[in-house]
Amino acid sequence: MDSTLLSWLVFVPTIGAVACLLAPREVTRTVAMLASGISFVLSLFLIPPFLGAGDEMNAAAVFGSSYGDALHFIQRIPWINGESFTIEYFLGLDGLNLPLVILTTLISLLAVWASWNFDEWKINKGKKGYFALLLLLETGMLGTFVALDFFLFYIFWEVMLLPMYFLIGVWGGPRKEYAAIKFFLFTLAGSVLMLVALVAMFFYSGAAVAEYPELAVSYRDGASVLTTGTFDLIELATNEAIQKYFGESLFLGWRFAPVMFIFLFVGFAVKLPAVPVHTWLPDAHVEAPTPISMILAGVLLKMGGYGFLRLCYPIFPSGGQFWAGTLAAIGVVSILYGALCAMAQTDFKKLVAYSSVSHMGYVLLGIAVMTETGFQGAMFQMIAHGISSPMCFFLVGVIYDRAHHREINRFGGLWLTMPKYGTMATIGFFASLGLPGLCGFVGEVFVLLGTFEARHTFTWAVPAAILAAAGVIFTAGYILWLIQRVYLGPQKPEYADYPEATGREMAILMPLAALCVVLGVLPRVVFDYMNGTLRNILDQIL
Amino acid sequence: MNPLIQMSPEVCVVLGGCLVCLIGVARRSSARAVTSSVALVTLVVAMALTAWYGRPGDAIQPAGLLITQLSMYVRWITLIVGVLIVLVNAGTPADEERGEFFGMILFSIAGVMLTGCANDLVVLFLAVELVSVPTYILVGLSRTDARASEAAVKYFFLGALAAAIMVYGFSFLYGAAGTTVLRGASGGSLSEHVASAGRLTDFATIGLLLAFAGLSFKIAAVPFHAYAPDVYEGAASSVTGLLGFLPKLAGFAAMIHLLTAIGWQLPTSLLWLLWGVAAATMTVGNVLALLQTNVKRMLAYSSIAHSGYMLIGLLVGPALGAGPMHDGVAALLFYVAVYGTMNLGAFAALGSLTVRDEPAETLDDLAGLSRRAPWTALALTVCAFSLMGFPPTAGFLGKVYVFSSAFSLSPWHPFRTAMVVLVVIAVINSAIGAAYYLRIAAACYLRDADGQSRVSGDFMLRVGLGICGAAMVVLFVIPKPLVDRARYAAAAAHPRRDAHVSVVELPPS
Amino acid sequence: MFTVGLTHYLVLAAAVFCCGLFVMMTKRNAIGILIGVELLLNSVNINLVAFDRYRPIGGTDGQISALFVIVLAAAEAAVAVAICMNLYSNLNTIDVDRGDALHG
Repeated sequence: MDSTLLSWLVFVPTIGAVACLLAPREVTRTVAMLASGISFVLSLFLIPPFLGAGDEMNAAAVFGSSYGDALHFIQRIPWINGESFTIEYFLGLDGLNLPLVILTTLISLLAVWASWNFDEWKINKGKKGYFALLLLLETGMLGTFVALDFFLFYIFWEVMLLPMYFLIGVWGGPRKEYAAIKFFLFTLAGSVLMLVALVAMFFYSGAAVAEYPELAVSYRDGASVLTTGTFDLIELATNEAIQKYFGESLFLGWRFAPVMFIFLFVGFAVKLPAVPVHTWLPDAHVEAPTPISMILAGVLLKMGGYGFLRLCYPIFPSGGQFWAGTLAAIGVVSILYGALCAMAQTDFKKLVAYSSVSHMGYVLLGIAVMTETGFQGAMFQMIAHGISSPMCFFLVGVIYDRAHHREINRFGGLWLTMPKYGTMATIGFFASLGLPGLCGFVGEVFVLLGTFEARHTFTWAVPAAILAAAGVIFTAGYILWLIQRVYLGPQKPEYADYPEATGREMAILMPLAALCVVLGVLPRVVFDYMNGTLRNILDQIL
Repeated sequence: MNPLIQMSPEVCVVLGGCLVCLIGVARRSSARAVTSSVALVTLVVAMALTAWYGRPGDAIQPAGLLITQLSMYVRWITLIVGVLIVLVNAGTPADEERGEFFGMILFSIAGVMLTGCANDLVVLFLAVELVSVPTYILVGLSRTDARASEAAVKYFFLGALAAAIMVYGFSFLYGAAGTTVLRGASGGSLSEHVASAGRLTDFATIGLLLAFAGLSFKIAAVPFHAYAPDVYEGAASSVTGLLGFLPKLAGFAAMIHLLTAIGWQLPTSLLWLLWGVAAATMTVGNVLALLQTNVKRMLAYSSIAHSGYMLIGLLVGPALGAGPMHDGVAALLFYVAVYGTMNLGAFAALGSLTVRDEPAETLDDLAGLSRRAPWTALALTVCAFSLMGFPPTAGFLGKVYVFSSAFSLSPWHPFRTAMVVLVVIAVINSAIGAAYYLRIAAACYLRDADGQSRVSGDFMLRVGLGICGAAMVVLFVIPKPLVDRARYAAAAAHPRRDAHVSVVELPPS
Repeated sequence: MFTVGLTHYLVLAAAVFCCGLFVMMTKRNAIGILIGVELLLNSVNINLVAFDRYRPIGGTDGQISALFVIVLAAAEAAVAVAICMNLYSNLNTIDVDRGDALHG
């Protein structure tokens, strides 16, 4: 079932970017809005094949009986090929990337809208370039999520850095150059080992199909036999010959799977970001303009988690077993360290940035324990954080536009001045806190449950779960304290005349707030669309 | 076929060079002004001749030449990049020196083309010298200040030393084989000698070691790299772009010729030596480049580092017919073409900028360039990202090809582990490299401070710059034409392919 | 009786080569360094001719090569003198140590 829908989805923003550059300056933002709006609508057309997947009867039909069995909207074109290798332009959709794709288009649309007042910014030069880069960034993110060829994935992964680098570096705050270069170098340094893994996996898979030709049956039609190495992410995970060879061969004297797992992990951990490679994140967030922070927190960080679930675990399950303890430890440390750092911040944006580190720690923990509940929790946490954190950053942006500073201790009593805004802020920050009934709660609880479930497999599961649960207390601590300092208390005279959130601002906050509530009350709307694939991946691993 | 017709592209370039030199002594300035156009026409005519008469597969015996797919590849990329070089340099020389200047460029280009065809140690030596000697003069001519003549003196004496070491090595190779012919001739050749002896004799080993030492200078590999930063800084920017390509391509082509002649059977000790040279070259180049604020010196060290990456391809060697992911030589040939273009582009961008009538050289000069000269800044940034090996540019593909070729060695190859380690060193190096290339992009786009540089380059230079930048993106999207040519060329360097039947007819896949 | 063989010529050539290297490293006068280059190239010629004499497999390749090397040495010398003149006109000296504008 070939389809060009995903290609359109990925490249509509690129077309929009070109249009932004060509169109007159007055309509740039309209063009950008149009392009991101179209790609959002297109992404909604991806849902129909997944409808009714919540029903057990339908699940197998929608997600297939095994991993890679039922991909939707596949598009495959050979791109660079030689005698013994083919790099494909291969896009496809399953339960793992569907929610993330829709999240991406939604957040991008809102980010473009959040940039509507570009002309009022302190650095408002290069308007065309700004919106064009924003749209290119969307292309990069969408491409990363839907590419199923490792080479293509790697290219999108890298290309996405460029617009981000310029968006932070040109339109950022006072230390923008430092922040942009730090962001770029951290991510690049993480991904050079991924490049080694890319090449190594290709050649080892070639050796694998030569070693076990009888096992090398391709998943594509279930009959043909693979004869050369491959970049196909699904093939790498499902081909028995490759899996067998990956499990037993050596790389420079070490077992192949754990080494490759860690090569990939480093790249994804930087993006996630996990302690100790998280230090680029607070800098990038503090310097980035508000809409860019929304995308950074809402979408970019999810690529790390997506990478774990798409590459690390299905392809190197034994690597996952091998490193489970380390990964969980990193996850728990991220949760606690991120929360403690957030508590110590006086910069509003930095606080939210550190809270991201803490929240993404749950993702890492949930994945590391390799239970179904853990995977579901991790995925849900990614989506939930993808909704609540852009909301928080936008909330910060709204107040920054008025006050031109972000010192938490200088604020106070904003709720009295701006009651509608205050209500939204409460929803956003409570969702981030993990209040039952809001989206943040479901993900965290599932991760904790999943960790407890793994207590028979891993001795460290129970202490890890307890420590992670303690993180919730810290989170509650810094968020409640934040709300108290900024929104509650007596009205301060210097903020008394602040205008209420504008219609545009409310319109950006409303859908996010609504999603926070809907996902908190009805988590099924996300779970239904991804559980099948997560189960298939887990079947693959265990 | 008449040998002169077979060699007509080279002959054409040399004659064109003579003609340009003659025009250069014309009394009228308007006559001297056309020299660059005459040089361009010469190159285009040479391309046409290459397309018509360039039939690979014929040994031109008395002249010690052999035209293979490798020669054809070297010819084509030299001519194409040669056109860019002439475009970029169109405004460099002083009015009364235009004749000599473009003449020397053409001679150097002819030397590279000849290097690709050489099948005899004497021809190889002469060809490599024909590349080098004009470049010494170009460095001296490129500017009128003391730094250029100082650079020329340094470049000349170190180059002459390297040439002497190389030819001293050649004399030992001759002593070992008893003939100067490299391969496949009826009256004996180095390749037959090695094949019949079954291994490298002592003389051949010494000869090869010395020859490689001399050629290392041409490619600016450690420990013969020290001249590069000084010479690059001393010469005018647009000439520097040429220095990173012509000698490098000639050096690698000569190395490939020598290794093909000995059937790629390097003794282990030499392999380890080259391994160490490659590792040291990329590491020294990248680490020292980090410390520079002068962009020309930075790019000089980057040029050293890139030679280290290319040496990986040379160490892996050719694989018959396989694509560049499996074939070290094909990857190397692809990389050197891409490198030549992106390096030229970066220097062309620098060359088009002046600061108060002085050439722009430092990062501070570039600050805020995107606002003063958006297109120049864009082209420079594209070239910088390509040098970094970052998609979507051809530099990324080049790097992937070179790195992956190292993995293609079969698992029982004794050198495989070492090569994989070398690739790990190389990727770490490319991360280090990113740090300084990024500073160029950051200076152009992120800095608020305004540098003093202004665009003053002439029209031809900007055309050349634009082509270099665009080529990097186009070659990323459509790499196949270049990749296929590189693949055929590498097949010609494969030892199992007899020199007499080296018409490589690989099925177009 | 003592006969002169290939080895003796090779040792002589190596000695001349080392002399050339030594000259190139110690001289500061550009013309002096050029003489070092000539020594290097002449040691190559000794090698070529000696190999030609003692391993007469492939005709007279060695002697012809030697002629080419001599011609090239002459061409290089011409370029070297031109470059030295250029240096002299800029610095009023051909002492290469005085060229110290470039360093790194």
